[in-house]
Amino acid sequence: MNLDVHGLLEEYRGGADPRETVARSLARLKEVHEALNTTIAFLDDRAHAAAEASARRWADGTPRALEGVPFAVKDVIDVEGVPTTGGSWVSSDEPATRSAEVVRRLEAAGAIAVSKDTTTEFAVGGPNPPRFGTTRNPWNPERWAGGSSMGTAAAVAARAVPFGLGTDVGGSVRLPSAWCGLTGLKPTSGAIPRTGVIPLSWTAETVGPLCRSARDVELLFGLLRGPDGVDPRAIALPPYMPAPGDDLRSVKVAVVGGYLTEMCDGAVRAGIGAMAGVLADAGAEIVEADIPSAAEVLAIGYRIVWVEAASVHRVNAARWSEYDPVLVSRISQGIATPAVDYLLAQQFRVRLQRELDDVFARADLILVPTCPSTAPRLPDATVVVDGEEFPLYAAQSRSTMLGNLTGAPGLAVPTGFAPDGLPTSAQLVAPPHGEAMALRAAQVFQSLTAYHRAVPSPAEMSDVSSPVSGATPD
Amino acid sequence: MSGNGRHHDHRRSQELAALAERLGYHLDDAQIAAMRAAVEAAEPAAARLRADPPLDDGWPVDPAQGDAWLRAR
Repeated sequence: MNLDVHGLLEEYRGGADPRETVARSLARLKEVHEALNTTIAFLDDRAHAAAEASARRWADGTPRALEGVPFAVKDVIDVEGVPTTGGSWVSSDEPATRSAEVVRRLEAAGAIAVSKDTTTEFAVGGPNPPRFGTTRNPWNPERWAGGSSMGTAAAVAARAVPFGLGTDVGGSVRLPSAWCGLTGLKPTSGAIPRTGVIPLSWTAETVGPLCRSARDVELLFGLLRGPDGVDPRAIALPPYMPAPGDDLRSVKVAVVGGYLTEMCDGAVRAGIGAMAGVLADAGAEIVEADIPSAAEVLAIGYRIVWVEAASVHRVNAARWSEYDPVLVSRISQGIATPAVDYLLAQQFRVRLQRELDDVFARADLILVPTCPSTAPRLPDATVVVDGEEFPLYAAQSRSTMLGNLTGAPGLAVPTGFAPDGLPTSAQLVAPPHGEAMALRAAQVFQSLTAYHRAVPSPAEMSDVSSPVSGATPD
Repeated sequence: MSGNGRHHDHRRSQELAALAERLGYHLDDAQIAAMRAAVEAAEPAAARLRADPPLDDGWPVDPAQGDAWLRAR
């Protein structure tokens, strides 16, 4: 399962059998799960039936865009006939009656869901969720795969599936992508409908793909994008148009420093510098820029998210004693936030959007770290920056929250490896609905580098020695 | 911690517990203590936000839709 989606489709065109691919994917997923704890439910029956149908379509010459491609689904996203647990003890184990719109669109294109994967509880709890436990990183199982789309990221990185679906409220697609060496997209707010996803934050949440290449992200984004008539934020859009070009002549990339690189590991900064160099060699003009309010973004972003999350989780207000204590400690502050403060925080988004407007007035893209460090250490998920240890939540979303507050898309791209052997990542931020330019730049970068093709070794994955809490699935 | 400090913390915790209960959340003492710590940790950012002047020295913007219609006045 080393191929990306494009590579797998090429194999199918050459005669490969989707039934064998799906069987291999499920077998690999089970091995990977044993080592890393990636999965809440394996969808064998459903996937094998879909693979039969795919085999027939390839045989009779009617394959769809993703015919026979297996994928993983974070377990806050509904798949028909399968419970959506949100990784929580309090969730009903009744099967979903309808798939989320994103799953429906992928399945309508011929893709095959093979698993529901681990998440921090309701995509907001701590790194050791009580019900299903943590997920280890395939590059080093003493590190965390990352939150919150952790099982999906680990499954894709460990070559069990070529891509997966996650959700992103403060970085939960981009951070695990960064920590697992993947290319992951938080789309423009409203570009991809969220119907059928357990909500966390109405104004910050997005759904996005975690992939092994930017070309796959572009293919999937084109299929997932557009309104569904249900999610009120998913507005009508013109058809997606890729930004063609083998080089980056006439493209300006703004490197933003200040707060976003102040608490940032040297290896991550080196990755930013190396990526800027490659983009410049491909013709891009690199300019410097500033986002004056960047230091405010994390605290204000969380302020908004906690109020909305506390409101969402009022449905379980009598059962918070069964929640992950980390989840409660994070969202409960939202109960005590005055309405005026919440609205002031919402107004801050406009200030921040204007600051991004200023940068985008003279640049096509912004280049910042995806996160300040390589994958956090288990069991506490502490973050190490230049040898100094920081609590996870003080560090992880410093530059990802920027996109959740402004609505701008962010694409996490692997930039190399740190001395600890773990992947580093940079984020390309584009103006709203400017995904095509970020994807073009990433594809040019990946045509000139091979970091996105690196594979964690089985030895790395099986070296489990750090203690982690939580139960494994039945 | 001084007696006054403990008294203040206790009173603040009671206030938060009462607020949570009034809004329909049933939290135990440990959860209220974690909530109080988080609220206090967030206060500096909240204070900075409250000190921000409205954009362009104008009226505060519509938090849901931005300020385009105000700028067009």
